Amino acid sequence: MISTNSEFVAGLKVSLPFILSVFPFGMVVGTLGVNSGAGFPDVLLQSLLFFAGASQTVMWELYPQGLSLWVIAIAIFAVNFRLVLYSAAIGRRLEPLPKSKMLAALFLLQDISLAVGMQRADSPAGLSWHFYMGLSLVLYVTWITSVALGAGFGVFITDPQMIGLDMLVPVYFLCLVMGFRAKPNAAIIFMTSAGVAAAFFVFVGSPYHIGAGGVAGMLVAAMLANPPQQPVGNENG
Amino acid sequence: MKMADLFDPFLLQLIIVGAIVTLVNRLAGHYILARFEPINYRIEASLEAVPVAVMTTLVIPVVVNGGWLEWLCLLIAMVLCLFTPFVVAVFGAVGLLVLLRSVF
Repeated sequence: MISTNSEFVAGLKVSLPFILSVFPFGMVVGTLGVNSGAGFPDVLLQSLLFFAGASQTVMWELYPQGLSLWVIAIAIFAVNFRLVLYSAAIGRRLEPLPKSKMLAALFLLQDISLAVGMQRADSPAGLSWHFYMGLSLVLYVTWITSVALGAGFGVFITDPQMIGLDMLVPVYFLCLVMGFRAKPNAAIIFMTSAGVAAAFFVFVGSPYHIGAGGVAGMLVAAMLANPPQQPVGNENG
Repeated sequence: MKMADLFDPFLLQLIIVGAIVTLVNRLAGHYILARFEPINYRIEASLEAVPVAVMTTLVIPVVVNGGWLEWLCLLIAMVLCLFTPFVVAVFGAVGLLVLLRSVF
């Protein structure tokens, strides 16, 4: 049996490069929070409970506009809808797990834990709960710390474009995607998802491009899937 | 100062509702969508496609709204990903963009 400690440490180690890219994003969200009229405790509480940067950004953009609570809640749901798909994808790779461990893992689920976790699940080492938690806990602590620093001190950036902050998050997601290029049909899933998302982004608007592009990519993957090599009993599952 | 004074009541409600909504998202996939056993190979393939299918869409806004500098930055990132570690690719591409923006 693999030592749970060494798995946890392996998770910690793999998280390190991501700290650098998460930190500036967290600081921007923290600054945005206090700038939209919230107090430091509100911003901190939001980060502790959400741990989902895109939806936190959306909430701070909508909060000062005097909208009803449910309008903002629906916006948060829409932006975080991708987590439904992430959860379906990673949950079964973490099984079998006791319920409490599964709940802890899913509470900490976000883009990096999904991407790195799915890659580990495909590797010979496999995905263990301890590896996943080592990775995810570092990201959680990094997120809280960076948001708190941003909310406490503010980010004194006069021109975010000049230092490339507007492109950091997209580039970072593109690189996460590139990590899956060896997967079956990766290129065609990538192109389908990009095309459908672009059309929805232009004609329908954000955040619907995320769900539409994501589902389109998944449908293509389903259509192109090959039946299992050795059928087990019934033919159409 | 009491705890209640620290938080604006509307904002506190909003944070709690938002947190519940987010947690429901995180749990629904595994506890509702992925419940069907044994899992069909097409559903399995679509779940395996989630990282590529979903994360790709997060890049789209800057592709649509950006100009040639942004497109070049993304292209360079993709090429760097083929040959270098994650951090080098991300900061190499963004660093080069910053450099180019200061020139153009």
